[in-house]
Amino acid sequence: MATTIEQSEETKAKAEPELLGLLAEFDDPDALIEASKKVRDAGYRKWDTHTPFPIHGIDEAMGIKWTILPWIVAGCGLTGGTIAVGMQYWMNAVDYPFLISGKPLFSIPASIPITFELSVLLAAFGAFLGMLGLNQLPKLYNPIFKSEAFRRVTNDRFFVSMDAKDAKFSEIDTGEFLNSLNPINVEEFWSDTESPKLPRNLTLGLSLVGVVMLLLAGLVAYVRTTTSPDPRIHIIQDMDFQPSLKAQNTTNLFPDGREIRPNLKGTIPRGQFKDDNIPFYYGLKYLPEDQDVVTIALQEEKKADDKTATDKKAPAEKPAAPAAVDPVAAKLDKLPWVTEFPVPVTEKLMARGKERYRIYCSACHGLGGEGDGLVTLRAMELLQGTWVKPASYHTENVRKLPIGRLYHTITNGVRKMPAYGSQVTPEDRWAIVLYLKALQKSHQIDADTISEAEKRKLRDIK
Amino acid sequence: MQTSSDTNNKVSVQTLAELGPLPMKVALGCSVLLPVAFVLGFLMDNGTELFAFSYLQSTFFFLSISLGALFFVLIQQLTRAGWSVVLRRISEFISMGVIPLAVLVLPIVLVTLSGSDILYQWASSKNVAGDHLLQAKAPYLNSGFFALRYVIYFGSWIFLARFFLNKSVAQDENGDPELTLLMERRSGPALLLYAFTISFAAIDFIMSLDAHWFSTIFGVYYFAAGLVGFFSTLAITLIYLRSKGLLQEPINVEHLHDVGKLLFAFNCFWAYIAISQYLLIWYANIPEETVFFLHRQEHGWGIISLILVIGHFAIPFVFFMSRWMKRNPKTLFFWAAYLLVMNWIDIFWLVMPNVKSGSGDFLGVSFAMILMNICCTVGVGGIYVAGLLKFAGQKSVMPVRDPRLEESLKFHNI
Repeated sequence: MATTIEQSEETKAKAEPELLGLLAEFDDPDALIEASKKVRDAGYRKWDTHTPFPIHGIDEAMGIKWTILPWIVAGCGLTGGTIAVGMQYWMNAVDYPFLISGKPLFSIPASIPITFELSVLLAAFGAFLGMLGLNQLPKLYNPIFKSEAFRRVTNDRFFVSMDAKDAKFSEIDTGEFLNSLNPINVEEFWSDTESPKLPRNLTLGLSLVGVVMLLLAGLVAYVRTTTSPDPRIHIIQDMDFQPSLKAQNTTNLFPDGREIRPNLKGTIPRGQFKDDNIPFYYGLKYLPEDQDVVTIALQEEKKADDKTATDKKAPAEKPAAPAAVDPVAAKLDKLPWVTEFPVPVTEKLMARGKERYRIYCSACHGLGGEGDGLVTLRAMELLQGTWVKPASYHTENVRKLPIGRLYHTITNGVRKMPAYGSQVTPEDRWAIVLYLKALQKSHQIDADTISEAEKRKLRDIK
Repeated sequence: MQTSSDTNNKVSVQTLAELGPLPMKVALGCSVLLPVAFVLGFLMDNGTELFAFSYLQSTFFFLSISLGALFFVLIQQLTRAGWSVVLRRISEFISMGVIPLAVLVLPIVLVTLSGSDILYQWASSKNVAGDHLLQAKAPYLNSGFFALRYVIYFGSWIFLARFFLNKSVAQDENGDPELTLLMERRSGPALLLYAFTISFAAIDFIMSLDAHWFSTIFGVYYFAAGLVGFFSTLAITLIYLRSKGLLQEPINVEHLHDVGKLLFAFNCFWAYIAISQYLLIWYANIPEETVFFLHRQEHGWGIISLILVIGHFAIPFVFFMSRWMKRNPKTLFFWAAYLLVMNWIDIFWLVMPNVKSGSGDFLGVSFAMILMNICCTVGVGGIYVAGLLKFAGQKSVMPVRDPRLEESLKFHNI
């Protein structure tokens, strides 16, 4: 079946070569321009001129209309600019907001270079591809090439070609008309009887290139979906292995040999300026003269330098530190602790405090704050000599502590309790303090401060 | 490179004298406004300061045009351009404006030499003593060296302008193609000299008004502004001359189209340089640099800055791009005049925000300031144009025996 169809098509193509048009040959550009004017005035639409070099004035002589290419270019340029602005807005301000040197997330000056470049790029694409498209290029072959005379078009001959598809075209009339233009010669050109074939070597070469490109793509796809014990190839070495500086290391980049750089004199690290909200950051109404006390923690033994004393410590002694004798405790007691929360007290803060308390505090202090957390219970069971049982929140001493002092204790630690300032944010520390006060209230409350309804409720529970 | 004999016969020699005495009279009449502005200076509040700065603005506005012309003449010689021969002589005339301007700028130099800080803070030893930065810059920014540089700059420009005009005029007489070769050989070194002198002149006379601030692209900015001014002036001049019957045959719409293209291109170049300067300063955000633009957003200068962004770049970019706009003498004239005004506003924007009142406060944009500037510009412009007409005198308005004249006459855009 297939073969018969092919054959019939071939024979059909071979049988009737079609007249494609007429070709008139001139030997100088002025004659061509004169002829072009006449063809233009005769009202032909589908025709063209062919010259070895650009001829000034041929556009007017042929009556060529303005191309729409500028509008294509303008449209492409505008598209590029829109894409660039939209892309930068989406990337910088929406998808991955990232502050760079304090600039707004999206700002016009920063977008100008890329907008400019993408506009130019797409405009250039538009100009190039639009030109190719409007000129119906690339056109590797034209039946007109079969004309022997036409070969001189790249040297010294000038041609007018009339397309047979033109509405005004008729073989005889148009032929007569062309002859009236005083050409050297007029000839017909016909469609091909068989379709031109690509050279075999070209087909082979192109298929080879295609296969190699597919192989490359396949290779990339393969390595991206499989694992390998071999170390990866580092193409950009100095980006993958940067001589980065780390804290606690030495370097010879700086004369003092330290990798971590000391703060510059008169500067404050970002986020470390706390003096504008002292109650919030320190739990103090104002900073005392001796600022060192702000960060000290109450120790269980004043004679800490005495090594033997540490060993001898009995757990029972520790919780009740001799406050009267201890100068640190005395100092801390005298500080101007805040008694009101420096943050708004809300349900949300309470919930946050409960959550943080259970994460950071309850392991030692217990869920209810009696000092019976799981870690404590286990340490007690193992009779660990160095373990200091955390104080219950419900003793008279702790209940009397101002909230600023509680905040300070969380921040800097006390006795064996480590400082939590570096792990829990100030906001969260205040949330924990709030929850702690609630715990205290839940354990011991004055009957006068609760309403009758609540009292009745409590009685009912019993 | 043979002078074709029929060219000599075809082209008739025309001179600007054919315009009659009217242009000269109008120019001299306009120059009366300069003394008027001077008198206004005594009547207005802060009038002396306003006059000094307006005078600097006006002279450097016209200087930018003449320097643009000089650049155009040099680059045409350097590239051996054929198309531009018919309009090169007019450019050579415009470049001669550096001679009247050298005289007009002289008072600025003399005032600075006298140690007055009315324009330049660094000129007064009292200011320098109290200012560490000015002390550090004193080896360069001192009035003696400033005066010396003035001599070098204007000396170089006058030399170049005269050389290229005289050689070209000499060729009108003898038609010697060797002269063209000579000018081509000299144009390379001349451009180097030109590049250095215009950059440093912009730095010395305009940038040092605010001696604390600096921008390494400033010289190029002034150069770009000058080219916009020059091509506008050239287009206006050519269309005016053609309407008066001069150069009507040799200069056709093809040449006007190319002048329009260059005007459009260098307007974009100006915008490119301006945004380059702005973008780097905006990005680095260093207070000592941003002060320039911050100051130009306050005291009413913000509107002038916006006028430059939208009026100097955006509007012409959209509407002047079309080929039709450049090939129609009427629309070309409109856009050239429009961009010349924009160039004037640009120099205004560079110079005038530095005006301080007697008590040291910056002055905002005011009607008095604009009035003073317009008076000064018209006055200086009158002297400038009168000078140009004087130099043009009996010289032909076209290099009638240039070896590339025929190429230029037959020039055709595709």
